[in-house]
Amino acid sequence: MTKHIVEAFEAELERLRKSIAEMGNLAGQQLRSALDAVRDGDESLAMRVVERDREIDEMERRMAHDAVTLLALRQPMASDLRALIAVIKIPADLERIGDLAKSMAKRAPLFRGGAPRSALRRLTSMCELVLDQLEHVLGAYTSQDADAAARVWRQDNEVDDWHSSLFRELLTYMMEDARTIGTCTHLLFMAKNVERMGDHCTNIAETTYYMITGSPLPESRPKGADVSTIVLEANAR
Amino acid sequence: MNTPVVSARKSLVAVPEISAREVAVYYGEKQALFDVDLDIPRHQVTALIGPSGCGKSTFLRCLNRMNDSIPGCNVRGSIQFDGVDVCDARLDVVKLRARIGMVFQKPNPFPKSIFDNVAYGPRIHGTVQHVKELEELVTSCLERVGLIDEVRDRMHEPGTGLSGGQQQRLCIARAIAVNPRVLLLDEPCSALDPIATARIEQLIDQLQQDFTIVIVTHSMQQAARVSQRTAFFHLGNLLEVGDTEQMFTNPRHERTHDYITGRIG
Repeated sequence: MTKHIVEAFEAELERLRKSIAEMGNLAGQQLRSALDAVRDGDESLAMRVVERDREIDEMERRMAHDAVTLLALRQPMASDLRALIAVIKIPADLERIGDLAKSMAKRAPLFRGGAPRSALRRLTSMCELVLDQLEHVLGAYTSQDADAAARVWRQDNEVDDWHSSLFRELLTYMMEDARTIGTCTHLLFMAKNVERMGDHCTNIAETTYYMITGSPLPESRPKGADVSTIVLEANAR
Repeated sequence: MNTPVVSARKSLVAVPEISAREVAVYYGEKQALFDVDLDIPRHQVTALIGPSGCGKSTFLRCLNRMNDSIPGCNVRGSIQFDGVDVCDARLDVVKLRARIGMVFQKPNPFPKSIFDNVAYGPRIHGTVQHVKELEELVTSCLERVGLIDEVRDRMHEPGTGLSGGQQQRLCIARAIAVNPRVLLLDEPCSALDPIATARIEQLIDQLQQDFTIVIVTHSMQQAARVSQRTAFFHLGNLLEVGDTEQMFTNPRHERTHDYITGRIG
């Protein structure tokens, strides 16, 4: 795309684009650290995740402020306007991903005594998938690749499927041994958090797609398994 | 994004007040406008935008034959309005301009009183019979442009003594006094401050209920604020026309995009 006649505007937009990439990387690091903290029952790592969340919050506030300022001072149109809308929306999703990672990290001390290995493995796979999604959607944003954004958007059903299978597994543990209910409930919450992070990645994919093309993605996307329909069938066992 | 010409379908509308077809304008040998097809929808505001020299004002001036007064200017094509072709040489231009009024960049009240400025058109066209009727008409026109409270006590003072924004509203009152169907506005706010500009824009909002409005403006924000349709001209061609909302959020043509976002095209 050709450059703006007013160079300062070009530079300001570029700086905001870079800030999104930076914020996205930080959100990804937070999720990875939260997962490590849970897997290792590492309390001090968990504390660091909680503290760093403030950094993400601050980034979001600063970017929202900068975007509003640019809207007021530059009165952007067309692709510039859409770019600034993205600068307002995407950090809100990244900030939520950060919050969910923090909430996951806070549970790390509960796992000092260990947790069902297979469930942790599944949770790890789910996190890896979401980290992949996040990386790809940030890549789509940076390289202005609408097709890549649409791919991320379509792939969220895999995260849903992992969530659903982990949900079933944890239900089974709890039915077999009531002593695991505490740990498993926390694992369920964490799985839900990770599933929500996947949803935020699809939001970012939608925003990115709109920013690039000026058209929204279709309303419905492929959905994975839905845990809200899974029922406890103790008697069937 | 880089579709070369405006699609015919997009430039046409269901209820056009004016239908321009293959309008070409020459200044001597030089062609200034190339085969413009454009419908102006009834009771809507259409904004004509584009860089200086793109042909937007030339096109606007075709609509009420203002180009007639430019030596060497030659207009071809057809502009259908109210059952006639505006380009028809036999047309009574004075009558046409009563139906298609115009307001210019620089407010240009006649060197007459405020009252006489508004009364001028109705008098020469003989559209009112009695003094009382004329007084009522002048008052109602000044009311419609939101000027009456500011000038009620000085109706017989010169129109040129008003502020720029007031003068521009006086010119609009003068234009609507002969009950036109269409108002052509050629950069009506470029000499006004933001408050006077806002007043004119508010007035445009109101007037479109009764008139079809075509505005030429260099301000993208103004085009976005006041119009429902926007037409983008470039080097004498109509490159893109569409709903204003779409034109300013997602223009189809790369040149439109570069122009409205302030890029080097």
